Amino acid sequence: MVSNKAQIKIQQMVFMLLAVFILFVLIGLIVMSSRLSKLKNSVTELKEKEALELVSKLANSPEFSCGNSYGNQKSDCIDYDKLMALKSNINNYKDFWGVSNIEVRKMPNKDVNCTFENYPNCDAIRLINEEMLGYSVSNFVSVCYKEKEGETVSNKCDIGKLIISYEEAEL
Amino acid sequence: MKKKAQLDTSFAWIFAIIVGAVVLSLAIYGVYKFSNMQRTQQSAESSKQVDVYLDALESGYETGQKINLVAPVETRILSYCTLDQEFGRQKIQILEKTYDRWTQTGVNITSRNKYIFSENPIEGKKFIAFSKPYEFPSENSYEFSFKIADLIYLISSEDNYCFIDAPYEIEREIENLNADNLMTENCSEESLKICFDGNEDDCYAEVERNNNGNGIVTKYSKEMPFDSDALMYAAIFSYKELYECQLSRVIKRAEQLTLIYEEKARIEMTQGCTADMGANLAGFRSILHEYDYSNELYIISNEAKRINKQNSLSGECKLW
Amino acid sequence: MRNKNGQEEIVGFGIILIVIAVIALIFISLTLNKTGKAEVEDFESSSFLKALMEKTTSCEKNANLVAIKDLVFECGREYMCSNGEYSCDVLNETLEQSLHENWRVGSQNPIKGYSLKVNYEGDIYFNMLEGNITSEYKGSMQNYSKVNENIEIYFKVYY
Repeated sequence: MVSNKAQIKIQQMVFMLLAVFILFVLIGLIVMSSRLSKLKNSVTELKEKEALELVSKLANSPEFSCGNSYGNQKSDCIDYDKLMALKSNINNYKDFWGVSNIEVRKMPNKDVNCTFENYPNCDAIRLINEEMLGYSVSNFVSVCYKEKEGETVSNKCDIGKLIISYEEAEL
Repeated sequence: MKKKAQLDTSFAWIFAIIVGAVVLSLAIYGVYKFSNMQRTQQSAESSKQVDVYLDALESGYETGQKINLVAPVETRILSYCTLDQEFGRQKIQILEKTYDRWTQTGVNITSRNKYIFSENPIEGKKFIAFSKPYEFPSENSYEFSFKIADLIYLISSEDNYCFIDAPYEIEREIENLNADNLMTENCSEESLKICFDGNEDDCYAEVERNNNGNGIVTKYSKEMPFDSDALMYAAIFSYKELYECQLSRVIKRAEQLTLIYEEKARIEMTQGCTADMGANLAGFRSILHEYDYSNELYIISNEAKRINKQNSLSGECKLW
Repeated sequence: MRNKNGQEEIVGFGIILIVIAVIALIFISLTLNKTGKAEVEDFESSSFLKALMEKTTSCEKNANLVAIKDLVFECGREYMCSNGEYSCDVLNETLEQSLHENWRVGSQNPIKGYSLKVNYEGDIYFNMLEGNITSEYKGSMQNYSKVNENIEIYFKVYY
């Protein structure tokens, strides 16, 4: 009878090596997914930090700030009329601030989106897209605009919210 | 006599050695690729962090903000500028010195809303960044101009700058920054001299500044005209090609802002304001659109003074 | 009896693989957990207070609408608005309304309460507390001065 001992030994060796290889691959997958998750969190954290800084500083950006047009110099004040003007030229500003969308709401908010037809009888200007996708951070700001009162033009300021949305890092 | 057993054993050993070598090679290759990825990640993170820290320099009420950037290892910062699309781009690349050589990762972080003026490259472990808002000049101090952008100046703390015979307001500004490498007196021999009165030799940069804040900075035999202190610092801390590129980007932004103010004037017309400013801004915008080179800055400045005066006379309907 | 050593070894190895896979699943689910946003960010309470102070009211003076920060001074001087309203009444009404509209409090909400105190020359002119006071809060303060007059506003959000 032909002895199959050698074949059996080779088979055993192959199975053992295969199992060890699968074990290493599994460990490798665990480590890689952990690293990938950390990298994704790190990029998302940086994006969030960027958005938080941006929220604090956006109100003072030339495209948003009131400057001296509402009496004295104001900081953290958003010019609502200028914002509407920015909305009409927003195509030039896509990707300018590195966020996916910017919204400024007058408070209290009745969720009436501002369009060129209904302005100024509205309370939310959404700049880049119609939807706020991804994560968002927000801050209170002053929102000022000109309003006709009889024969005169008055400066009006309300409490508003500046909301910035950014998307999670894709990896 | 058959020796099947002996052959059987040695074949198993050979098989195990071959497979083991393959697994080991794969593992070493994986570790090498992984460590490369880590270095790339670190460099990208550092570049993005610089971008985020520089966000803090976008000033609101305050002017002349300063931040310190500290790197864990010897670092080289390369700053590039391009003029594509509406606003152009600012690119930052960070290289780190590991094992006595600069690690080239080829990772660039780009930003459309920053204007960084620096030499190329700057090296060190500590860097100082400070900013000044740039706005067009006004005829009188009670007339306001609209801010266009914050200009950011990035220098290595290893480079010492000495401002010789600077005007009083410049001296005060430099002293208020409280940076160890920016001096107005008691300068060391190795410091880079910024000469204001034209009587010094061996100047790193020569500044001819008029009382109304405009003038020319001459550096490496190249002239860079400026119309405000913000641009003067930009010329001092950078070089001709970057200065021209960034200035073009700033003017492009001014053009877009002018368009926004034109539209704002139209919107406020429905609230009872007159449209006078709108027509004047259209003319100013076409001047901005024609801008090519810093030699034309005085044309823009003169027109800006006229526009600012008109705006200040608009009463409750001021656009800025 | 047949030797089943090989089978036993493979079974043992299989069990080790299953245990590692379970540990890996737990590990992956833990690493993918994200932390939530803080109830109130550091800058929110001070930004709200700044915006509140700049809010214009229905009180008019010299054909301009008076902002809350200026209305506090007018209330201290017992000023009557051009449209006949008493400045302190307009101030109280506007502050209450603004706080209600912007901060929802309740046991089910992340914000448990808030308080706003306005001092004019050291005297308390407005003091409002809504909801419950807790040990964790974020607060801010603004002060404004005119010639011989000083106001201080304190705002706290409890969570």
